[in-house]
Amino acid sequence: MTDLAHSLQSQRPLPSVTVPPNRYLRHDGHDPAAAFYAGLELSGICMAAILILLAVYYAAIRMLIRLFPAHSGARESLANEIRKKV
Amino acid sequence: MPNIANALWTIGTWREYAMVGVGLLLLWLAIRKRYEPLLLLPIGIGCLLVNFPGSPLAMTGSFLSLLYRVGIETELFPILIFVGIGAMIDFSMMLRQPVTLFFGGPPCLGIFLTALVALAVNFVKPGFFSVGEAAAIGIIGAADGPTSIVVGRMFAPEWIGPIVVAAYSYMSLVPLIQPPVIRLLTPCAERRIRMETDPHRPVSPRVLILFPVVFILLTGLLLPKGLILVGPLMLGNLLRVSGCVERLSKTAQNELANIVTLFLGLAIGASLSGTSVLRLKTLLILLFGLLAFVFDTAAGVLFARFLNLFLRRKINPMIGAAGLSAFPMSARVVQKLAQEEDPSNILLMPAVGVNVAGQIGSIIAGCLIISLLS
Repeated sequence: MTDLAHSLQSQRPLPSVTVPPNRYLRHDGHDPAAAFYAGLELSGICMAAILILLAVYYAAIRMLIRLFPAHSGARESLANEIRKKV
Repeated sequence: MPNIANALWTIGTWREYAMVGVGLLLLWLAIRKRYEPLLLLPIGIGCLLVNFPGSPLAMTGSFLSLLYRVGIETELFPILIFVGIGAMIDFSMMLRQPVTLFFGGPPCLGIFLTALVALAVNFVKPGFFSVGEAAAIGIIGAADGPTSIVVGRMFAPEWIGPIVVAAYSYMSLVPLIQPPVIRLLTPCAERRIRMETDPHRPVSPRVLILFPVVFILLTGLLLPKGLILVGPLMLGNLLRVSGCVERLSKTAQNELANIVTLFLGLAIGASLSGTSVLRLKTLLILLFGLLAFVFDTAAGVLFARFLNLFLRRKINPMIGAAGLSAFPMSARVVQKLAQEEDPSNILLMPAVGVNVAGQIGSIIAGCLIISLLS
């Protein structure tokens, strides 16, 4: 059973916890100021990236909606479907 | 006689007996209080089974340890759960009003604020939380079990049990956690704002089908490591909306999700061993998890109020709280609060759209943490 788990683990293409720590992970908290600063930097980058990614996804959705507008009968058929469900 | 007694029973430590108590508490919460019973019941049983002194199920090679190794260490179970969640999510509410997507971002602030609070503990006790552990604790605020499991497994494997228990427990406690925060941050007049929405606004079936595909493509291009979370979710959604694999869609929503939930719960419960879990850190993880949910809610509400400064047609700031990805609980909470203020005010539609956006926001946050830390 252990072999199975080990073989599965060795085959997985995902990052493993045994890889050498990157610049954020090497902060183990023994230098509180450095760890806090690293956390602050990480938070700032992540929040900015989240907003940028949401904007990209938003633009993609708008583009999809513009490329494939719902046909005129869709509203009525949707309303009928909802009525049926109710 | 003592030899026979020794052969039959093992005297355990107080930690093991305390965890037996925790297992019973989880069972009580699941059965009596109905707090996420699908997860907390198997977690409670798993916790009971591994903490009885001398239990063979606590040994390496037991079926519980096999479930943990195969399902959690490889991240297989959370990923399969994501397929099920994807098959259950209806993105059409968000696609009808794409702007609601942006409400999925601000609640993620709670994740990072919580991580910073955890790191601040190091000023009192140096070396208490590493950056990886702080990120894994913060991700409880994603209010998304599988994301918490994947991130927790990668960066705080020792603490995955408490992290997952906190995530699922607080998700079920959303109706208790969110209302006081929302009331505190919104004046009564703003809670009565009505929002005009058109639930019948149509969305082309092509858009519904292309959305998961485009989402995968964009994530693959911009954040390839994020595919670990986005891929299975969008696969599940594609099964649902494609219309050509109804059997697979139903299986993903029901049998697959149910079976994996059972195994996942047992495996997580098995990780709650008294010797490793009963420490001050566990208590802080539970406390910070609660804090993450409070921060998420506050950030969502304050973002909506901030938007109102610029909008001519004001939005009800309570819908910002639905940006917490606990689906559909947050949307229900917002609707309930709106009707408490004005019984004829219907906010459910925009709140569901924001709630779905919250799911996307929390996944993006998880993807970013994985990408930046691994």
